[in-house]
Amino acid sequence: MTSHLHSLLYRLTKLRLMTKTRRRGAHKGGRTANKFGTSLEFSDFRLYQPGDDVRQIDWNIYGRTQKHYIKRFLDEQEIAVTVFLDASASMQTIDTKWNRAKELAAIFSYIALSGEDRLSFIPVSSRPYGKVSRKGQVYGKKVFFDILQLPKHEAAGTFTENLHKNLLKNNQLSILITDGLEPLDSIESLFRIIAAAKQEVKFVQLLGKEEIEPNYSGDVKLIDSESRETVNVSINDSILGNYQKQVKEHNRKLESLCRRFGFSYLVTTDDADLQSFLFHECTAKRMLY
Amino acid sequence: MYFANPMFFILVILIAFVVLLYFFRKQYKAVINSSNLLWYQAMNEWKASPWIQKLQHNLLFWLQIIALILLMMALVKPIWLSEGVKGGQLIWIVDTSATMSALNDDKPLIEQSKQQMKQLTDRLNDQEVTVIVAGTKPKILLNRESDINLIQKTIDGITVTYEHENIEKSVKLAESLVSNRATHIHIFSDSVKKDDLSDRIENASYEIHNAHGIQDNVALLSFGVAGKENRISGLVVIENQGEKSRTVPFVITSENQTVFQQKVTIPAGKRMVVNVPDLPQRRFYQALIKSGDKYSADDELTAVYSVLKPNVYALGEVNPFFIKGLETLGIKTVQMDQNSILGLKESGIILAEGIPVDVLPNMPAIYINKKQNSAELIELKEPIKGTDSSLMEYVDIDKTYIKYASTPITGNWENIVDSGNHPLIQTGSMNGQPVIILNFSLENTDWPLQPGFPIFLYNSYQWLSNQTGFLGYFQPGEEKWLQLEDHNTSMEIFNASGKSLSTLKLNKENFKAPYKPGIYQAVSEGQVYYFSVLLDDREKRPQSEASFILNGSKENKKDLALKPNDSMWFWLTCVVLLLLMVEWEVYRRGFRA
Repeated sequence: MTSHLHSLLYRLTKLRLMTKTRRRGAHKGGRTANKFGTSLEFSDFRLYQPGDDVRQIDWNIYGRTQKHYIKRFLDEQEIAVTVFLDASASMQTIDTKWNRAKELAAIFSYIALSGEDRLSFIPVSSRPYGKVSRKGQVYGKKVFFDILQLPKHEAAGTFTENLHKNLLKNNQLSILITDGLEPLDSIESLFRIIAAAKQEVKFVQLLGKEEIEPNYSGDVKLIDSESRETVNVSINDSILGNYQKQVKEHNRKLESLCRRFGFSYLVTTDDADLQSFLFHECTAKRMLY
Repeated sequence: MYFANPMFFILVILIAFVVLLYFFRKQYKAVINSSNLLWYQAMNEWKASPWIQKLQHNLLFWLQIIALILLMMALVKPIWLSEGVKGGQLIWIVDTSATMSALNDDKPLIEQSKQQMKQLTDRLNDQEVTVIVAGTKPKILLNRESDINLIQKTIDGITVTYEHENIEKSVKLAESLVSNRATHIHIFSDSVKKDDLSDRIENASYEIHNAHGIQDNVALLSFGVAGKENRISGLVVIENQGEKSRTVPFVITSENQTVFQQKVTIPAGKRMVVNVPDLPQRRFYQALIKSGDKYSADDELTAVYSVLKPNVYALGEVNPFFIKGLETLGIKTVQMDQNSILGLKESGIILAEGIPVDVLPNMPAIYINKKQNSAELIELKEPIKGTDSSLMEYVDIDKTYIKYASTPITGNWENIVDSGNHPLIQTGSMNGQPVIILNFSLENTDWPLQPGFPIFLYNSYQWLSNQTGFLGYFQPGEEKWLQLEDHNTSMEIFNASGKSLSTLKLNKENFKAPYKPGIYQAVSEGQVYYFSVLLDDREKRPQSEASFILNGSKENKKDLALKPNDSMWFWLTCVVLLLLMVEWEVYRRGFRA
């Protein structure tokens, strides 16, 4: 474990996942809740009524007003965070992309755990494997490294086909890490299912560098890693230009789709600087704070 | 079993082509890509321009429908009829005489005939065509040919030969070729009359296509020059064959110089004789009328001035044996002095002795190199040898005794007779004129006593007068065996403007005159000969006759035989094949409905 990683983890402990939702989980956590509870955050005073805990009476007020008031504090509660990592073949084809995807999943999981939130990490695949469900800062590093060690896995089916099998109830925040290289129709129907669960969704699109700027040349037969369908391409400038235009168009549509469903949309590549993505883009997009 | 159209086995090459395509198809390198989604879109975007995009959805469907419809059309074998040409066998007689070179609408009449022949060719229906050129001697260009391309090519190759057409003989020749199939004889000419075909045969029909053109012609009928009383005069006959009186400029040129010109007015249908009294002495003259009419072949005539039996002029102290010898041969010999020879207008042959070589007048000459000084005389000791020259034919010079010879004159001469190293008789040219040099004087020999002496004089006389080089008058395209002194040489023929026309080997082939009238030069072994090609007199009277049909059935000319066309199915099948290839490509690229 390098000092570099240590300093990164240290910086990550100071970050929190930002949510707009006021819904909270059932257990004690690190986020202020609407409910009254036992945190240090003062809420309000209320007249004592029989049945209230006498320990909560504010005797200073009684001394001034000769009335019994109860001093109330806001509660601090957890939220349930699920990190979905797209483990379909399209993510695993390019090594750097797969590693970056695992890093992102591990980091978000680590942030969630260090923020005293309940974490579920689910690699989305045709068969369940490597699921993590934890709460508590103590597990932070273990989960972080477990996720980094996640092996490659023969997976059938696409992200959108498999995700809805893994949806959890009572989940407040979902982080989807995927490349989004699927027909927009199926992505839209997936979004509809997720949105129905009334939760906040952060959509992180991770693309490989060679998916944005392909380095193929000559006549190539491209074999789709998931469907095994082939397409014969004679690479030339106009086709490359066309392809890049298609990538931009696809990403733009994906973003507008996210906006329609009220999801946050972030895009990054496997060769982007991780720290600047985390500490600048994610904070700018109000995903972390 | 047999194959009706084994020719189409050549379509096997199509199979070979497809196999080749298979071998050279694109080799794609397999690469595993995370997702092809965007590549599909990119490729589709690339292939589909907007208007194809609509078709693209059902492209295969439409292609197959079209292919099937075309196949069906091919199988029903559409046949339609178009105008054909009557007759089982066709004989075309083409007049290529000079009158066919007359212009009509800026195109020679022969073009009109060729156009008609081509039109007939296009309508041929497997008929055999025989093409006869009606020259002085009729010539068969094609015999029972049915290959359209070859016929077209032959028609393209027909040009005006300026000969007089011999329609009667050509028709006889054509009739001898008539087989028992219904034969149609087409004659393409300008002036064939019904009377010309008086003894025609019954089982052939005749169609005469007379091209129209010449209306008002002015012809130069004849032109001659003659030397008389030290003057050269010319005589020209011009005829106006039109219906209006005409004034035409008349010019005589020679060697690109105008030597005489006059405007001549000729009443309609009349002849006029123009006398040209005084002409400068030249080799040949060209008479020209600038008539501006449509027929230009008869506007030009050439005349050659030549003295057939030139006189011999003796200059200086000529040995009397020469004079006597020439007179026994019947050649007129005139003794002249230095001054009077310069004023001489007639051409002749100079016989000079005892004068310096550089004062010889510009004429063919026999020069006796006589040296007075005994120091310049060389005593001959070696035997005398003659070469095999036409000058030395039957002369037997080796039996002659020559005591002294003179030192030779420097120059580029050919040795005819020599003794050891001393040239005795030499030939060559001086100022463009032939010269024979004798390097000894008769006093020093016994030659005049030999029988070879007069023969040598005769040979020399013939040789010198021949060197003036006029070969004679020829008919267009006339062939003649030419007798020149050296048979193993080749001859090159130039036209008046100096363009080389042909080269021929005189020992192997006949001399053949060019077709176009005019004056020509023939060069052989450095010698220049002239000859003139003259138009046949009958060609100077162009006539126009109407076209007509003889022996034809009562049917109208328009009512031609019908010719079925059934090649359509072949092209349809070709299109279907092409469509199949397109379909294959479409399928390969993966557009599916």
